[in-house]
Amino acid sequence: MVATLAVVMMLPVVTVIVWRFWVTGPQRRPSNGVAAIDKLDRAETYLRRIVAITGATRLGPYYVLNVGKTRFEVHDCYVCRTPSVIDPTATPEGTCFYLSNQHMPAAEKIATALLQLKNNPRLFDRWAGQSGIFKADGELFKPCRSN
Amino acid sequence: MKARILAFSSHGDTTLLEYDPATADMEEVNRVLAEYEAKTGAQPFDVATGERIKKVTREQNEVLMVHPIAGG
Repeated sequence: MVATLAVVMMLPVVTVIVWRFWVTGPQRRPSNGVAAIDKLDRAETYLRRIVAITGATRLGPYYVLNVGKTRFEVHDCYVCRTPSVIDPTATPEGTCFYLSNQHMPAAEKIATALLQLKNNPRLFDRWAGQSGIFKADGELFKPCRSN
Repeated sequence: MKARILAFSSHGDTTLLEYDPATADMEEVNRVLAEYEAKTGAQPFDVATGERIKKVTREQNEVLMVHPIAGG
């Protein structure tokens, strides 16, 4: 009698456990955490593709991009430029950079900077000049403001 | 095969436009991108080559709208 009562009392708990971990397991029920990991995975995949097409190389926490005789070290919000690959002792210059969307994954920020510097290395001077927001072609961007 | 225009965002990569390059009206595609550029400052890059492109053609299957950058 006591054993039967115990089984009956345990039944809802067992049902919940089976439902949670077997029927709707974590792989079948994506949560915000899973979506966030997926987002970061895709960002990393794009970064790897862009690293390959720009000829950049990963060096620890940053990426090295050579454009002509200029070497850029690209971090997720900072770029360092060394004037010449022939003279690695030359004084490096650096600038922070910002995308309008600061919540973008770091991999996508790096990918954006790599693509822009590869196509237009003079953008570095514009960023360092801190005189506005620049499109990939170097043109100053003035966001439209709606009232 | 479908072609895709995407942009990076806080939600990771986001598809802005998907179309069949064989049949799509490319003028319309480029008009939509021009509007997006006017609003956000993003410009199109061919993901296959990493080159910035002025106009999207039927040859490009994946185009990334690259957002502008401010220094600091």
